[in-house]
Amino acid sequence: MSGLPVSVRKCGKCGANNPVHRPFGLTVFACPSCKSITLTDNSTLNKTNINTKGKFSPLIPLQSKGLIKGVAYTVIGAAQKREKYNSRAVWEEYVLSDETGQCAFLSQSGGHWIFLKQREKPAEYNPNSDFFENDDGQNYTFYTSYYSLTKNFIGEFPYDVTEVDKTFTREYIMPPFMFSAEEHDSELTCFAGEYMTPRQVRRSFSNSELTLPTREGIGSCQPFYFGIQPQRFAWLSFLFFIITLPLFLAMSKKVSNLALASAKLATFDSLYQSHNVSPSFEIADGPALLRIDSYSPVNNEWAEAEINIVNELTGKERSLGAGVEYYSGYDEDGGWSEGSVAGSVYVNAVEPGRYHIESKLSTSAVRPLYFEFNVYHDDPTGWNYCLVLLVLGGVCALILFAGYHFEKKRNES
Amino acid sequence: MTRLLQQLRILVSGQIVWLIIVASLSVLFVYGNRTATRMFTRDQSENWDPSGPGGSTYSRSSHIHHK
Repeated sequence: MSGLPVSVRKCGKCGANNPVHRPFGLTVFACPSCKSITLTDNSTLNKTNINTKGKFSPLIPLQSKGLIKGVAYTVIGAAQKREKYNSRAVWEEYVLSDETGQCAFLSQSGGHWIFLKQREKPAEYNPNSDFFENDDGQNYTFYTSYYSLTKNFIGEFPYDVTEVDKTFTREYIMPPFMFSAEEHDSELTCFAGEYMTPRQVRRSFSNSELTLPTREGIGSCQPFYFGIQPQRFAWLSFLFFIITLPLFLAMSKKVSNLALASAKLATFDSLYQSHNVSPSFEIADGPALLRIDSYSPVNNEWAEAEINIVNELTGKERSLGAGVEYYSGYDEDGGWSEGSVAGSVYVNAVEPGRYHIESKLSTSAVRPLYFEFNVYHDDPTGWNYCLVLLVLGGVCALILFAGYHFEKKRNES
Repeated sequence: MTRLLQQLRILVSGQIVWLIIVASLSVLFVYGNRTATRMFTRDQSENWDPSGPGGSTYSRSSHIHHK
């Protein structure tokens, strides 16, 4: 944690002894006791538009010690600011000093926190552009620009906090990061920021029992949920599709259209019976997916074949029903129909071996009716691949939709 | 090429959720293909092993919804 205060400054007005951490880097000091403002040369500032007498209780008290990104900081100054031409855009700014006297800043607006440190001007930064590529290769997008005003402040400031109204600030975001460029008299000061949740701030200042406001709306550089970046998510998914498509095409097997087994069952028929035992057939090369296509000219009836796939070697059976139903009619809304005269069922993971199929027909029909089915050796690759793409596409669509509303809410905030 | 790799690294960095989803789907895909399973397709078949426990009886419910 940060060491002891570097020196003590006695307030010329109220006589309070105030700890001062950066006596040589100090530009402005507001006594926390009497709020009188002192400049670097120890002269007292009398003419200022800032009403430091107003009530101001920083969320993080002065002299609080915290650990952010492994560096110990002490809160040495706190200010209330707002946009010059938008009185509703208000924030708090905390000046932090590390043990070497280097400053960092923590700003809070609507319960959202940003940790900022001064940095060099990025090589690609152009104030006339709405986006730029930062030195780390990330693209930052313009978010807002404003002149600011200081409403109130206490403690030490490494810059003239009383005269910020001529400083024009441009903010760019790449959540959870942000870049801020402050221009004052053609001089540019740049800051790199990163979003912090109230919980992270509370943890950083775990020695102080902080009561922080709950977050309102979406913060300027608040990241999307779970660290997801919706557009990147969609691009990665598209890349995944492009890369895996040739693999899928290479993996897909040519499936034979020849049926492994077929049967035609019938009721009230002299030629066909309502039960059947098919000739034997072979399944080789690993487990197989079987597709059973069935057809019956049902009309306001159902028909179902109870099918047993019997392994002739082990005697094990896979039993299932392959059925069709079709109903139609008229009511007050007009004609209606439901069901189909044809259908397919699938049997997964049928082990290699020699099989035959035993089938038996049941139907609601009280007339002669036939039911036929064919058993095919199918390939699950196409279905499974499409399903993977469908799920991924669905997740992408959901995330893009949520991301769109997240960004909309961010801009409204 | 270096720039392309850098862009790819930026694209992938931090996308843990995407990696988890794609890895899970890929595992399901590979499992489905290896076991000849059509994923999320209702397989109504029931196994019956005459030599296994439970003897020679089994039950099966029909998917037909009788009108």
